Amino acid sequence: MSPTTATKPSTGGNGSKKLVIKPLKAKPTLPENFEEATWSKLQEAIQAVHGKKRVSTSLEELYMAVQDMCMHKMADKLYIKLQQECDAHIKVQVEALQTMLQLDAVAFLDRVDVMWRDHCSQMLTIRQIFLYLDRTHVLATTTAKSLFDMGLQLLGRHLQEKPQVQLHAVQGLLTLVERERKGESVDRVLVQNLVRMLGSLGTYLEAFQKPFLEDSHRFYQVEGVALMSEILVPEYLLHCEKRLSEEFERCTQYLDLSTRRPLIQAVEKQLVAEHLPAILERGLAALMDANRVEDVARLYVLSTRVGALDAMRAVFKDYVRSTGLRLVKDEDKDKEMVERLLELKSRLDEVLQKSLQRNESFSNSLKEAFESFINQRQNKPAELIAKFIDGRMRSGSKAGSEEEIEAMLDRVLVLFRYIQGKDVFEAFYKKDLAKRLLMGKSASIDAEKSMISKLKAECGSQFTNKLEGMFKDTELSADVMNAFRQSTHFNLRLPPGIDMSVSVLTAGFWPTYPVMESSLPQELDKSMEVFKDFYLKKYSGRRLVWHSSLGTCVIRAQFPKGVKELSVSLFQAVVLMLFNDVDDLSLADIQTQSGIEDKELKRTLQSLACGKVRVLVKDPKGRDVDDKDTFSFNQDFTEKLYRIKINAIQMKETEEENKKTNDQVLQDRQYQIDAAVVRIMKTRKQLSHKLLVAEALQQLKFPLKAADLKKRIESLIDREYLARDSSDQNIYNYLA
Amino acid sequence: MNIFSEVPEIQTLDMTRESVRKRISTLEEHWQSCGLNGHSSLQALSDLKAHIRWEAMSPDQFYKFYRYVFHICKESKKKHIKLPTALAAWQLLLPGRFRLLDRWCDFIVHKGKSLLVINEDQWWQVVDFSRTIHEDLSNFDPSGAWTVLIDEFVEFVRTQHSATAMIHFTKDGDPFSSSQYPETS
Repeated sequence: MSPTTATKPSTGGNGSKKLVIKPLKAKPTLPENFEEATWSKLQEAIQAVHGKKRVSTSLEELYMAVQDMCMHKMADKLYIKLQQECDAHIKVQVEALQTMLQLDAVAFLDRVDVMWRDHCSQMLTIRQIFLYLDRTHVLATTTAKSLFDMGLQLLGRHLQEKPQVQLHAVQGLLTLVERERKGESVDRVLVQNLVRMLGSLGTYLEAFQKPFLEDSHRFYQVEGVALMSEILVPEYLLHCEKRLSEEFERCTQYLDLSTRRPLIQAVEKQLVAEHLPAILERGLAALMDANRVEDVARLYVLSTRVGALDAMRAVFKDYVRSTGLRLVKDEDKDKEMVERLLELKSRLDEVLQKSLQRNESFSNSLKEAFESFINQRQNKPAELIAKFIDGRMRSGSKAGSEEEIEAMLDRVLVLFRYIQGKDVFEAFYKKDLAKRLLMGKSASIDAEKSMISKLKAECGSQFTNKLEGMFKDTELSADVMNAFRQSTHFNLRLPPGIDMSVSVLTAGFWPTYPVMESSLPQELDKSMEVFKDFYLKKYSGRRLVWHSSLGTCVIRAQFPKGVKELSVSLFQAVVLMLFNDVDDLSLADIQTQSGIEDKELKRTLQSLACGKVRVLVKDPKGRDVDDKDTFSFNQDFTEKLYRIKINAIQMKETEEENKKTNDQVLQDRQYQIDAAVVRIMKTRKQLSHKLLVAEALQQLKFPLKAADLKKRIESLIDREYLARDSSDQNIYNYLA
Repeated sequence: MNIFSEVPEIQTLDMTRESVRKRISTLEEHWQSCGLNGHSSLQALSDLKAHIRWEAMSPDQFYKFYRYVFHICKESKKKHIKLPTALAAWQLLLPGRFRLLDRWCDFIVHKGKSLLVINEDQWWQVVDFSRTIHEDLSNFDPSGAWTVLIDEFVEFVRTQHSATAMIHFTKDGDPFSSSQYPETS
């Protein structure tokens, strides 16, 4: 405290007094034994603190004593003395621990803990007493450490001198952690305290973390190997996840945060990364088969952690490819192929969405895998997809509501997108569509149109041009028929008892049908003439070709047991009408009178005499029609219904039809190849074989073997569109 | 026999497409005016072997001559040679020039009914093949521009080769092992 204060007198007063401050006459001196006496007082206090005894002097007095010593420039000495005092004490404590090394690790930890807590509380008390020293001398002197840090430094040094103590303590910690990993509960607070001690002493990294990580690696390595052979993959994945969260928690609970990264990495490496190839190989396919979305998600997360997503993706892709290939190659179940593929696709989509976090590269792999397997079996999948849609679009199918049909179409279109041979699809789709339209079998024109617009969006208007033309034709035909019905032709010239409806088709739009000749009954022949006359008057210059094979008739039959209306194909009608005059006819008779081609006639007769509904009787009985068979009118025919459909054979695809459609596609492809090659050569004039092949393959959108392409090139050489260069046979020249 | 007076001339023709074409078509007409085409032309060639001496021609000369043979041996108004004629022509012309000739003929016979005629491109390719491809086929490039017929031939030779190699292996296997360890048996 400063002894004097100067106050400035107020200015302006007259004759003001002056206050004069004078220094002391004699400098005050310290008592002789001031240093010793004060120190001994302090020393006593320190020892009392160390000995956990009551301090006899009041803390304030002690504080003052420290302050006094510091004021009198004895701070330096005081610091050193204090340090010595603490040093001696700590040395004793550490040595005491040294004698307890034989204790088991955990019991030993308790002692260390006690020592550490005592040390901390004692150092705090001492610091309170020596607060003035700490605040002034220590701050001013760069070499001196704050009192608490000094205590730590001393402790650290003594522990260093007795390395077994720390080693034993760390051993104890590791044992505790291992016990906890094995499921025992341990005193986490104890561990936490000691970890903090190591942290404070600055030996955490070197003395603890290093052996701890080594230990963790070892532990999880053993565990990983053992568990991989013991438990199933899903359980293993669960276990990994559990371990990771445990270790994560361990770090937040009682380890230093800096340990988290390397520790988690250790678990990831030993439990996951080391075994991931095996897990993927053994587990992924099974998990996918069983649709275990959560387990796959777990695997995905783990793979992400160890940076093995690429490996997982490869296995995933293989899985999709091999599973799909199995479906595609399963010829016995061709009929279900599309359904099964759709099921697979939706299953995979679910996995992609729920387990794989919609990962883009996985989604791409999925796509690639589908593209690869679906095109493994030439053209069959394309054909089956077209037929699948046909099945759903036909009337009487149980496809469900409009929305359901829409959804189904969208899903099928996804498969369609993967198909390379889109021309095959087009051919079959067109053929089936034609039948649906011509025979009025389409369940919903709206659905048909929606499908066309989807195809258009997918493949462009060129693809759907003809399909759209078919719709236009049916609409136009309806108009033509309306006009016909109101015309005099219809009302006056048609044979009595006959109604007729004609579809006029534009030849280019529809599939080509073989013209099947037959001699029609007079009434029908006449009707056709009438229509032809009517139509050509309206649209002169056109040529009408009748396609009898596509015609349908409804005829009334008078059976002895009742009148029935039969819905039949035109050929069936032609055959049945022969029986108007006679009751029995041989196959040969029928053939000469009807003029229907042999194979088609047999098919027709089979449907009339051997099917579910038998309006004719075949003699001898049997499923197949033979050349020597005779047929007779079925006198005993009965049937509950009045109107009976027996024209299902028309809707059904025959083998020849299937083959024809396929051949047609192949034929079209040849033209496309020729056109592509000529187009390329026309612009390039001269091109090497390899470049030509590459460019042609790029232009052509269907799968193509190199040999097929070569054959077309040879054919073009033969037809003198191209020639080999006279100097290098690998180069072609375009011949203008 | 003035029909062969052109042969030396053919050998020295320059190879531009148009001139060759023109020349060849006049030759062809000439032969046909003598009543020779198809197999009868080949017969005539064979009778004149000593006169023409194609085995003594340089590769380039032979190449031109070979090409010329196609045109005199083809059926009139057609663009190909019948297979038996082609086969006979190869057997007449190519000995000493095509190491795999026997294999080639085997292959052609093996093709049977699926191959009835040889067109000009195929005809040329045979001699190209004989000129450029090693006997062991080591420098054959399947992605090259060879006609499919040649590709198939190479395939044929390779499968036959591996089949015969197998037989050799089993034949040699036994005596080899017994002779190596005579004491033990």
